[in-house]
Amino acid sequence: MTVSQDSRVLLEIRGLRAEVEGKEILRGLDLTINRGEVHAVMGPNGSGKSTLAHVLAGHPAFTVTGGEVIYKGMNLLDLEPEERAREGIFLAFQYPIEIPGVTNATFLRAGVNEIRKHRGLEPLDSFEFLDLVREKSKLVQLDQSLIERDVNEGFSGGEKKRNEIFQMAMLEPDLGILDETDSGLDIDALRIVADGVNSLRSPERSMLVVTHYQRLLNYIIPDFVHVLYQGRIVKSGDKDLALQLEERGYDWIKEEAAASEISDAFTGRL
Amino acid sequence: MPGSDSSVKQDLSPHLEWLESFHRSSGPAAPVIAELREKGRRALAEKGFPTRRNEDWKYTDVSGLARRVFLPVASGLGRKLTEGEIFPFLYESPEWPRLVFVDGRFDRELSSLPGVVPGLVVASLAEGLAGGCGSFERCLGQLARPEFSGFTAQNSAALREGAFIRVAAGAKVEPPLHLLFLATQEGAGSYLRNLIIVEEGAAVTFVETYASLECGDYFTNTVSEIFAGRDAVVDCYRLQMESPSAYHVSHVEARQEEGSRVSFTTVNTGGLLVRNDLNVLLAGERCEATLNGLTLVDGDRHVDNHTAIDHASPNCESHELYKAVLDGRSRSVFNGKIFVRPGAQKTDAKQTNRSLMLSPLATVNTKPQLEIFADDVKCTHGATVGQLRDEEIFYLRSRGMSEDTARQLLTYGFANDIVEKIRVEPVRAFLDRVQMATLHTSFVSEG
Repeated sequence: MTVSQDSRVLLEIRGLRAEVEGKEILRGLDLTINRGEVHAVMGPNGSGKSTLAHVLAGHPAFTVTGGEVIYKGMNLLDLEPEERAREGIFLAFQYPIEIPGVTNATFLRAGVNEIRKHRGLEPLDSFEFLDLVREKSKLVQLDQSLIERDVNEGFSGGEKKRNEIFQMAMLEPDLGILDETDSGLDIDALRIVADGVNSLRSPERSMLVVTHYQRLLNYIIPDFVHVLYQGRIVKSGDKDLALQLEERGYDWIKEEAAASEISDAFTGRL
Repeated sequence: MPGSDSSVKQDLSPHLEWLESFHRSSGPAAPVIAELREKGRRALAEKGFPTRRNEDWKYTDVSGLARRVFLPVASGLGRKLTEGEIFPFLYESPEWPRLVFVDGRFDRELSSLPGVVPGLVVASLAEGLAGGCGSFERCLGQLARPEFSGFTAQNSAALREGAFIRVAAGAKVEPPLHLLFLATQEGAGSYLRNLIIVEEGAAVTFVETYASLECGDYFTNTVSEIFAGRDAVVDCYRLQMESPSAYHVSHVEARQEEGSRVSFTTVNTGGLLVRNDLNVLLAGERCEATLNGLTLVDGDRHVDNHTAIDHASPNCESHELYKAVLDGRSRSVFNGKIFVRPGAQKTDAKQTNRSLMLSPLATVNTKPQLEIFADDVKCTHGATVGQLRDEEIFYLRSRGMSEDTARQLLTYGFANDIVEKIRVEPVRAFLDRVQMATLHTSFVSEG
């Protein structure tokens, strides 16, 4: 196992390849995230953004076919999804799942206590848990009555996304992965969600924000912006890159990528 | 098919013999009882027990049950239970008025009858009859006809014990009334007949509990008739928690008059071979019927729920949701009939049946049966049979739960969807514990 030398490095992805249903989506992706950094991954539809988010969280439908992912010095790909969660990886779903018959409280308390157990902490009793709920639900202005409702059932689109960020606040991850959290949100809901995410930023916590549109990045200001195309990061920059993409679209990226592939191929032949 | 079980002539003589000696030994009966017993005996002699050739019994083979004779426990020979022994079945609500039946015999000492609640009669059938309520004679046997099946015929022929509830017009009864049916004798049969009459504008909740104390193989044959008068509100809970090797056959017939609202919650956690028939007649306009069902079944057990809702009048609603969780080699059968009679316009009927398979060896047979003879109606039905979805499991694992915990919680949620609709808090809390324990054991035993 490779152990990262730099303690500021939280996540290091090298040459990651992954496929779903036999179709290769990630084709040699490299990305390093230090503690405290917010990275945005943008890209046209089908470029592999959501695949990256799911592979990092350990979704069993995706098969990793190459490369490695070092997280806190561990080989992340060896861990089960729940082990990753307990080690501090959190995925905010693009389409949060509805679970009739299980209240948000039951669901979250089970998760919080699994993670606390892993960290060597006592489980929260129901009073302590509710105190925590009270504190964290304020961050995303989530109506506390939603905690006694069944998980995501009958929630509006905005409530579902706020519930995801609320869960992130409850579980206190080291790496928060936001998969298209802005999709389906109106501007007010977007601001609330972004404020919630911003309040969770800290020097120790990193975020990977996957988004198709630049809009979200007006509110969650990233330290780095990467463009994913055909399963690889083809361009990286700061927040201005996102503005450029907003203005010019993705076509110029595609052209650049095609040109560089030709030149790579050419260099390869030499 | 020649040689199959159904083509073999049933030998009914052992059944008819004990019924005859039962009639002789029980002495003179009131005319309404004697008549019903005689009708029952005749119906059983003529039709016998149902076979799989009968469409309504296609998936439930009762030939083994029909070959056996489960005699009722003679008066005075039953086991004497203590208050402490029945306490676990009281939902931590010993203050509820209750009728307790042990092996099919009414136990006055364990029963706790309300003092003076105006307008309420809670009594054993025998007392209800002796009490001279005219409604008793008018109603008994009017809904559950002996011809319905061999089991209802048998129940009628063996008629002796059961619960009688009458709520007079306008009376609102609280707390819930509890009918507790306990089995203690191996090999015994309990033949129970309940009559519930809720008059105009009255409201009542009652809970029927079927359970056993340290006994395995026995038979419960129970028939209930429920009359809901105009604008009456009735909530019926049936908790079938018989021993895992018991036979349980139930038949409930309800009739709703105009504006009445009746809900039925049928929970099955026990029984080796279980068949429930629940038939509701919406006789008056603007009635509302709610039928919820939950079956937890494992091992080699078999639970069959047949329901029929007869929309005989316009502007009625019915909502039906039956769920089953199956493990092992178990089988669950659901058949939901909805009739909309000519003229029953503006009917709104919704039926849903969902089954969750935890084992590849379990079997589900589900069949909606809608017969609609009116044109301005809304009738929907849906059935799903499946396993837990990978997406759901991943969602929970991504929040730190192990795969086992995720499966348990999702299975719990599937079942709890029914439990959380229960409006009687002590029953809801009890079932919450039962299903948690059941699901937990089921998963732990599988490693």
